[in-house]
Amino acid sequence: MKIFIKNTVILLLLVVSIMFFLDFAVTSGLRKSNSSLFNNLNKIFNSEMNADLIINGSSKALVQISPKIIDSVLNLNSYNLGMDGTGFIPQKMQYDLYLKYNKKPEIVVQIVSHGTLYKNVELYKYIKFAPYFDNEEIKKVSKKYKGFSTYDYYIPFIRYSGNPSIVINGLLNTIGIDLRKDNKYKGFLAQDKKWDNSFNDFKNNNPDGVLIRIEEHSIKLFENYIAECKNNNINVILVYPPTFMESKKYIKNEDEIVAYYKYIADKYQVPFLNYSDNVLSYSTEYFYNSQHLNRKGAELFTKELSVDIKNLLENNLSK
Amino acid sequence: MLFNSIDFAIFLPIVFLLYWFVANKNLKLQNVLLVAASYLFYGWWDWKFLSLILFSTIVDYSVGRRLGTEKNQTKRKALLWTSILINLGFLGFFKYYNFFLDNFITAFSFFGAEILANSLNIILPVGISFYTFQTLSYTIDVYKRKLEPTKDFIAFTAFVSFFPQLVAGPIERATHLLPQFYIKREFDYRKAVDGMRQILWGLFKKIVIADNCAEYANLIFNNSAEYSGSTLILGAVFFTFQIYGDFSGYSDIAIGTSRLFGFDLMRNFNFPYFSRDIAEFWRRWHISLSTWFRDYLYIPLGGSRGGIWMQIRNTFIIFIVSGFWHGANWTFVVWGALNAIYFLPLLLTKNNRKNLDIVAQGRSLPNIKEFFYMLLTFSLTVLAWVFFRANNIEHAISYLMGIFTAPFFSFPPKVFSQETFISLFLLLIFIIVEWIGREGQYALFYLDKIKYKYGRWIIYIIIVFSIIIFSGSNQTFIYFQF
Repeated sequence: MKIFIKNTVILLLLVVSIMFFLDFAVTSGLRKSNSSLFNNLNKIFNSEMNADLIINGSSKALVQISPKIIDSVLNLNSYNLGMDGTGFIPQKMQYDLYLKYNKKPEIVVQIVSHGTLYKNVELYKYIKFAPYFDNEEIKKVSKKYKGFSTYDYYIPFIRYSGNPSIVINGLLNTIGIDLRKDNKYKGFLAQDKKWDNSFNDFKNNNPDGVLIRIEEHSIKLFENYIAECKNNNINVILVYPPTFMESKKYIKNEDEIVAYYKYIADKYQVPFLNYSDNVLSYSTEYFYNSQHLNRKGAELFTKELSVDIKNLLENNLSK
Repeated sequence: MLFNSIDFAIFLPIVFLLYWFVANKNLKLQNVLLVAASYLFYGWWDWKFLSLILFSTIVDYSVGRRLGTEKNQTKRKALLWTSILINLGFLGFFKYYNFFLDNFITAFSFFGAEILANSLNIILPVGISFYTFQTLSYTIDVYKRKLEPTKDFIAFTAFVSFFPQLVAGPIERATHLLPQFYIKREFDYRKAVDGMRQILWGLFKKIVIADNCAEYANLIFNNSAEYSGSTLILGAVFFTFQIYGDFSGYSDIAIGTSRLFGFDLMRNFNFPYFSRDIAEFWRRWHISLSTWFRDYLYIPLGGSRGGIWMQIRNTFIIFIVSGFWHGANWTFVVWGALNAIYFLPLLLTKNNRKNLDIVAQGRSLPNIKEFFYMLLTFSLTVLAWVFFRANNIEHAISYLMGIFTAPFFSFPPKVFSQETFISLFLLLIFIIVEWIGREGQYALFYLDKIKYKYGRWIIYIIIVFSIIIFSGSNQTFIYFQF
């Protein structure tokens, strides 16, 4: 019995030691990685962004706003912080981290939509937060969602369990090999896709449409954020991007949500650019699904947005 | 409590230490501890169903005691039927009530009669099919005087609820497992190490093989209309390995855990996918259930003693009942019937006991003939699993028809990603390891032949990290639903 316990304990200690080592190696490797999943947060922590204009939002920012076009029209340095599949809580956390490690932006373009103030149950692609568990803010936000288990926070290396590609990526980066290239340009991930059939599936599954529930905590956070920006002399512009026109009737309370953003804009005296009725909304040529513009649509939209922001700036942001 | 959970990783060492260090001096205390641990293990899901196990235990214990003293054959028969009706009554209610009700309503409406009856929202107690069959084996064996009825209620309760095999088998026979509770267990180093090794291999099968295969099998089966023939075949193959990894993995963990406590459970799987015909497959797949049906259904029905028609009838009965045991759905019945049809040519040509040895025994590779028969048997099995996995008969038929609808080859990006190739690579490694270890009780059985301790440890560490790194998304064990 003694030998059995002794051998089991030694083997266990060996396994735990290797877990500590792998945890360290993978984490430090991923914090150097250029892969699209990690490089926004890596650039934030390494103070590599330092933009004049920040685009903040979900996938509606990520795939729809091109910093290249904004830079050329406005002649400044912009960066897209768009984070796929997230509501406002993680967006705000990322923005706060940006402010902590980078220079204060002059302008924040906050992309809003019906999903911004809706709290998802699961943190989409939550593995992107795994290398940053030493940051309390990230830990606090990720704990609010389904994704990581309690053990992921306390047992070394377990958070990377079931992600072989990420483990390999991290280990290779530790020894200076980065096989994953960032396919984004300053945070913008253009989608070279044509209209897919997902909207038909959505219509079939929700013939009566859906009601989006806005979450109380997100509302408070959102209003505080606008107020904070104003106090810090950061110009905030709220932007409601185009969505495919037919899809609007399936979001039962879309008008109320747009009205809410308008109310917030008036309350805090910030501009609200509403493109929900934009000409792009009427053609599937510019979208790959009902909620997201493809590359062509995104470039046309960003051009229009850039000109509108330019006008706003020239008129001292009074729209 | 799931075997592949952190909860169990905490639970097992605590029970192990209490068992060998606190309760080791007293047999009664060892059994009491096992009962307490087993009830905690089961209650982790739903403590309310513990009463069902306890009731079943009390009924069969009391019936057993009465059977031991009762001389009158009619009364003995009545006692046996009391136990059978109570046990199968619970099973029937929880598992088959809605199925029969729905089918009655459909049948009557076919003849123009409308029946107003509502199906009930019944939650199936985990493992009910397994422990029901286990307790029934006790009563039947006592009735047949193959076993002395036990007077030790604690030992009997431990036998019914023994946590390693309570919820998904192996379905133990009272003649094999119950006597082990009468003897004080002594710690055996080799047995414990072997148990740990089997647990490790079981976890690999479940977490790496089954859970990864499940992701693709679910994706393909749930969207089968979208995919071409080659992808549908891949989906069926993924499910074939999912169910094997899942169920045999559970059995390995159960057997390994029992060995840590000094118990020997019966073998449940014997490398079934290396079988050369369907009869051999059924001697190697879910052995504890197949032999249960053989002993308590096939032989009482006359077995192979009668003429050929009786043999055919009995074969169909046990395969169909076996299918129905898995679940209240016609898909399982068709799956059972299909296997009976596969079995028929072997029965008629009296070749059903041809392949009793281990394939390519003493050789590293099979010959061409053996390989061909293995491939044929495997393909037939894959085909049958489509019915097992499908949501209903229409789904199974459309799935199978989809295989033969053009275009055959296509590589949808959702299915053929980098992760798919990683899963296929792991599957290949798994098949090779299973092939190499096929002469043992399980694939790593002969690992202790490696002389150097550290050589074995390196292999254990590689397996542990394969489990951590390559784990698939957590899925519950398939056989829990049965």
